Amino acid sequence: MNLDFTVVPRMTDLLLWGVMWTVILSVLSMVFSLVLGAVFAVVRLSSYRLLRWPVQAISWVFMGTPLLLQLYVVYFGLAELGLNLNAFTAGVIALSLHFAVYNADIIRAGIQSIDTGQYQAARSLGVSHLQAMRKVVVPQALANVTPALGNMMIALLKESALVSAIGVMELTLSAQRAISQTFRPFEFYLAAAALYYALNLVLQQALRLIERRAALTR
Amino acid sequence: MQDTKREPLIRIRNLRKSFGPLEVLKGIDMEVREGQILALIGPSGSGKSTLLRTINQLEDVTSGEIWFDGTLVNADLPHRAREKHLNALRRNIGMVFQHFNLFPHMTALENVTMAPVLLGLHTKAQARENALRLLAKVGLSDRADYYPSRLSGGQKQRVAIARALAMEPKVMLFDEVTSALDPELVGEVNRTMKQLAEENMTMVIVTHELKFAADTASHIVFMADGRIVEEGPPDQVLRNPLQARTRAFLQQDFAE
Ligand SMILES: Nc1ncnc2c1ncn2[C@@H]1O[C@H](COP(=O)(O)OP(=O)(O)O)[C@@H](O)[C@H]1O
Ligand SMILES: [Mg+2]
Repeated sequence: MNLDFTVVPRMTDLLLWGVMWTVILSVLSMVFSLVLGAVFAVVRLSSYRLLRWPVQAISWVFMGTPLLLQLYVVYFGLAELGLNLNAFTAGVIALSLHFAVYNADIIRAGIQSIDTGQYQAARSLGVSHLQAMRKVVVPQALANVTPALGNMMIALLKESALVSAIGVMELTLSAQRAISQTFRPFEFYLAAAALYYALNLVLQQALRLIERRAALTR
Repeated sequence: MQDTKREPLIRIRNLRKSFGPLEVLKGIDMEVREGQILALIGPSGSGKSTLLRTINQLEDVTSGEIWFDGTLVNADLPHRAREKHLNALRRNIGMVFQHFNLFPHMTALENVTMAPVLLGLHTKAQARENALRLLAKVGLSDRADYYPSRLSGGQKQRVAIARALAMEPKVMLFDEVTSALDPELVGEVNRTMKQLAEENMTMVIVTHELKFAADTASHIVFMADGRIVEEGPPDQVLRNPLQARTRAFLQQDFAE
């Protein structure tokens, strides 16, 4: 076996391009999946059946099927129905919804763990249900579930590799492109793995900072 | 001093409340006049907290009527209309809880300013000024920027009182607000309540501290098993009760 990692630096630009798009894709999907997750959680705990039901359905679909198929359906399937999304947008949508559903479950459990006295104290002051949730209950729930959500974000970053399957030029697809030019699969797959690992280290540091801030106020 | 001809601020008529098969309030009739300090006493489980919580509808009722300031509190309305109706009523009914229920992710000041700002009662600057005044009033000027986790129980409860006062309520409801406190911290909270009483705030106080009730209240209501057994001025109810049930409760309590 003759491994030759000197080929890797020759493809630096291509790989950095991939890193950049993996970061953009992941960060956007993280933000959307968290916001949507919080909305889904509040809706599923609300008394409005008309809202609760569709969210429940989304939750079943996106938890019960593989992410890869979800990507195909959003990209190719919707195109057949006349909704032409570019691959990047389709990737963000599928990743966001897939992880929003898991985040919603985590946040919902977090909300249910907040003492009902908190909600009642807010309502006793005359603020509405939504205001009490948004200002009092959800922020505390989020602070409690920050570690669990952090783990989902780490998973999201890694799973974003699947978006290469619909042709988004992110890190995994850049590595494959490099391989097709150099015929060096092992070197480039390892290089890509190392880059994912490095990104995850950065993400973990960021999460640690957020967790510390969330814990500070209590 | 009191204009007894005016409508009482709170009027409760034949109020019943069940939790499943358990009837907790068995036909309560009660009035609270403006400026009155009403102490609600009685054995644990007699329904005092439930009665207090029906006034601002944290607990809904099975039957009967609650009138607040001329409005039927438990009016039968569709969900949305009822929510609006209750939000408007609750602004005028302050409540302080046994376990404080301060918002732990907000400073003392933010706890006090949250509702007035959200409800558009004050601008942020006004709310802050008002909150600082209220924190000063409860003796906590120097704790405005503290998170609840760094306050003692007595301080927490005083912030909770300031938080309720920030809405400028017409009545304050207190549910055993000193019973979760270490004994040495009870006095500071009681003093704050006494100060409010002296300013003629209308107050309904659920308490097991008979001495505090005797010193502060203008009217005592004794409840047992979901019914009002006896009520009247402190001198009568606490020193010369008419009912055997009241005498038994008082004796037991003083013996403890
Ligand atoms: N949410 C609830 N569900 C079921 N039972 C309750 C609930 N809240 C109170 N109760 C019952 O109602 C009775 C009266 O309780 P409460 O009003 O808290 O009495 P008090 O404040 O006088 O101690 C008790 O038997 C209590 O167990
Ligand atoms: Mg009680």
